[in-house]
Amino acid sequence: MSEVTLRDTALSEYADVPARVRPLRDAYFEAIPEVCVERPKYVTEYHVAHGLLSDTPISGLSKARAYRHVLEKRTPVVWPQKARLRDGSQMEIRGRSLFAGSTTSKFKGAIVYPELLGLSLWPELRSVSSRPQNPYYLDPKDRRVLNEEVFPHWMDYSVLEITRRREPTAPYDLLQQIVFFLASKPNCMSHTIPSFSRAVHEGLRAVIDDAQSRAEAATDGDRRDFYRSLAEAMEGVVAYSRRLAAEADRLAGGERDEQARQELRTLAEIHRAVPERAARTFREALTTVWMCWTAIHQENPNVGLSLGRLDQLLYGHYRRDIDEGRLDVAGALELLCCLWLKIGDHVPLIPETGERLFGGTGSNQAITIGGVDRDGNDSVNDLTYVMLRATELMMLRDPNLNARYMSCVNSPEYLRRLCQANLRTGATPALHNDRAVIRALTTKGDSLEQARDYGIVGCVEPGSNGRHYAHSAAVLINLVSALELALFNGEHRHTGLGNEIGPRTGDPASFASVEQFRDALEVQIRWLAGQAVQMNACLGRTHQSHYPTPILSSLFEGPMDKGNDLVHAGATINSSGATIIGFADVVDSLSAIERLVFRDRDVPFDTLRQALVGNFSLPEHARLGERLRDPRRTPKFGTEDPIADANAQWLAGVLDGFFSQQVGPRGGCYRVGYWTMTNHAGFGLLMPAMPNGRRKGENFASGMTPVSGAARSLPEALNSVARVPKRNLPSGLALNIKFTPVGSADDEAALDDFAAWVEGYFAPHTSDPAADAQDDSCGMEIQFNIIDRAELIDALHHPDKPEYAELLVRVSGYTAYFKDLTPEMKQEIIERAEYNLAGGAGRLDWRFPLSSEEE
Amino acid sequence: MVATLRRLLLNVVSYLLWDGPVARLLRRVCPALAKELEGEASGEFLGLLLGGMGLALDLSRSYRRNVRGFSAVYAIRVLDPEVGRVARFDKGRLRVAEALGPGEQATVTVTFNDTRALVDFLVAGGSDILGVLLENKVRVEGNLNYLYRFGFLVRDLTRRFDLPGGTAAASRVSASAT
Repeated sequence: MSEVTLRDTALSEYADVPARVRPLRDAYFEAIPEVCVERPKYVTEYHVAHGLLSDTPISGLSKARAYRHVLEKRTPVVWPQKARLRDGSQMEIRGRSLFAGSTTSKFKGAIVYPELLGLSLWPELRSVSSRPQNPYYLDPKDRRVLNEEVFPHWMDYSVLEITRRREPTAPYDLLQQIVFFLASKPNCMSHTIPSFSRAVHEGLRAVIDDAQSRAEAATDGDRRDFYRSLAEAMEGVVAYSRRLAAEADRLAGGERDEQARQELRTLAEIHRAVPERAARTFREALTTVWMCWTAIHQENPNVGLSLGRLDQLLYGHYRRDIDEGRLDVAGALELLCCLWLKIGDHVPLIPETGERLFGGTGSNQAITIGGVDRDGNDSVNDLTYVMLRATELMMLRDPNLNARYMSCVNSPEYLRRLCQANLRTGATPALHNDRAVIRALTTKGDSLEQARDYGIVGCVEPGSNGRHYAHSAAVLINLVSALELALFNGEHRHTGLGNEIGPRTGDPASFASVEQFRDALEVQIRWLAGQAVQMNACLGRTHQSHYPTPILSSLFEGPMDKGNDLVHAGATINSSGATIIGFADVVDSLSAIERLVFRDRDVPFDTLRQALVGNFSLPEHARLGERLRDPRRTPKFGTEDPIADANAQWLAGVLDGFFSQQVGPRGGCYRVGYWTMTNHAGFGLLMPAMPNGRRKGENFASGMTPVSGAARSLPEALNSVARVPKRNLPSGLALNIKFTPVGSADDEAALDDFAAWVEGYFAPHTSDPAADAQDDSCGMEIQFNIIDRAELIDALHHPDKPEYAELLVRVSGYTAYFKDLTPEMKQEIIERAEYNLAGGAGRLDWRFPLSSEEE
Repeated sequence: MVATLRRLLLNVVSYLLWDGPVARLLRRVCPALAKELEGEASGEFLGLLLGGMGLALDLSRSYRRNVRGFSAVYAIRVLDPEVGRVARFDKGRLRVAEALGPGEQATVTVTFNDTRALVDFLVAGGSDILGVLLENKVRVEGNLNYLYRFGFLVRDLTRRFDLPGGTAAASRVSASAT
């Protein structure tokens, strides 16, 4: 039941970042990330010393020992003293966090994983500190470590290379050509939510004891070793925390400031207790989560690794501390602001050109608040609101806050508060409709209780909290490539016409009906998706043989009971994720072909194809391009056009139909999602002109968002997206909506309007409960940018203005700092259709390039 | 015999020189490479680059540390104009040939569409290995990690010895960007 006792859920009296956190936050925004070589150095050291670098599989126990070695050797940083500035100089850090430890040895670090794609940084070792876009400082001594002591050992043993050598039939060429699909296993097997419940409530010693007693009882050698790997890994986590305690004690001994000395003594006391023992206080519970979180990073890169429903996990400790007078709201806010900053203490290591695809992305560490509990009751509590307020105050890219909402169960005041947070921050939290998500998850086999306990992974992907290993970004499909192969009979302009890539599905100029074209497209989709699935399977086998994950397996529901590592299907629920890039552009292209070529027979297919090859540059083709782009003359997704809506539903059905029949490497089927991160800009950059009038190199629409400018008013867009059946969207979707800012975030009328839009989009389209059970047309997810376009344009042209250093925007699933994004991504965000909160009318009167007046 | 003696001599010299004089020597001995790096690279670029790299490995102990214990055979081809070279790294040295020996297998084979792609790929300036892959101007057969290492060797060569496209050019790029 609802546990809201706060009189003011907006917590308006806490108007500023807590004084303790302010200098830390300032330093965070001034500092650039530094490459940390501790983990790669110690991991390599262990692998070399123990002969693990070979084609022979590596056991989970060996991996656990390697990670324990790392955890026992890495520097215990209690309070970082220095941070690096862009010019290479160092700044002193004055603030004192309430949490010790870090994911790297730096204030803001980037971890190198040579087992994965770490070696892609090799060509840049001399230039990464000074590269223009998102540099990472690399100390010359550390450069030598990577160049001479780390990278050479892994040349033959990265996951991708082992796979390439062992799996000659894998579609390695397609992966290399990038325009077809991306597979994320060469870089990580992340994208999931660990379970911190046992660590918080029982302590890691209980996990260790349990694992050891199961190891002793095991009759099977592999199983015995698996349980020993869990114990070994958790001993490493405990050891790291104890070393932090010792370091805090040491620092306290030399500290002259009485308050600082006392704080260090307190930190030492906390780290001697947790995560080894059950957390007794809210702060200890947060410390346990933080220690487990840092440990997981020593094992796997954080790509969408998410923290789950922290307001549910930690509420008991919070409530008890509040009730017993150990904590007040201000204290809880201070703790959460400190933790939020800690969570963002690392960034992904992206090579220079990776920036073109992923520029500006963080690790996408989602935290989920609100919604219903496992019994379907309102689970919003005071901590939900405190977390929301911490997010508003901190305005950080990571963590990525996601709020669940169940109409008629959660209160309307809660929804208004979520809308208010969006108006205040301009970009967060993303909102998820419990009704739609729970329905999507149960359709794929989750029990109702499991589905109700979902958290958001990475961008928008729902997964049952702490028990579902979704790896929701296993493959990213460029759907536009499938369309391209259908248009050119199995050939692709990017790789050169004349080269057969996909199946020969026939020359569309010879097709008599749109059904034939749809058949061809479906064949190409199934072929392309099949290639991605095959690649993922090959990579998955390498993860199983060379990359077991004992740390994450210890912090997950399933492996302890099943006796299997997560990479060997140890999780309670297993699936693999396929996310689709270019959905709306393909829907619109298909709809244009249906209407203009086959139904009205206005445009011969050959003419259309010539226009595409010529990128609409000839005058007659330019006129055709204008017509194709015009939503009044050509069907568009997001306008409630019956042709476009039907094509959207058909396409989502085809993709779900294919993927739900494919079994992933850990068992469990694939689940399809529609969130694009920055890939809709990256892939757009590479792809030629399309039948929806999109020209070469232009961005695709993000997520499942209609192409910008298609929907003249907001209801059209919301209704079209809502009509795509949720049963086909088990891995979520991102719908990006931009609102014109209102005068005040506390404006009652604006809040009413905002909440009404969300409520209307999320509501079932029927009031009859029986019909509701069958109805699949309520909205699933929505996220916002509420920012003035002129401000974005100014930020585009003057990125160095101080006020833009922290400008947060919603990309597609996650938030990012506008200044860090690629030029294409900045353009895409500026170009997004903007709607008025009152009435939902669209402002659609612009298009890049900017007019001279705007520039 | 002559080659062995020459290598022996250079090896002795490398213990007497540090990177500054090596850089001057490199620019004097390989003026064509510097010229190619400064201007529009021609079909000669690949041969000159590998020649310069080999000489730098012979002359510079610090540069040689990059390939300590490293053995690999790179087959590098440019399609337009058609040029091919084989680079064999072994025992801290680089030997360059026109083609693979009989029965010899390359550790990695890289084919560039043109010399421009080769330069973009190998020399600092905002584009890297993935960039050229993205633009479909290179085809790699074999272990991509070897290519990452080769990319570092080239960039280290140009920066360490202040060849055009190296430190000076990169810092100009960086300064203008910031």
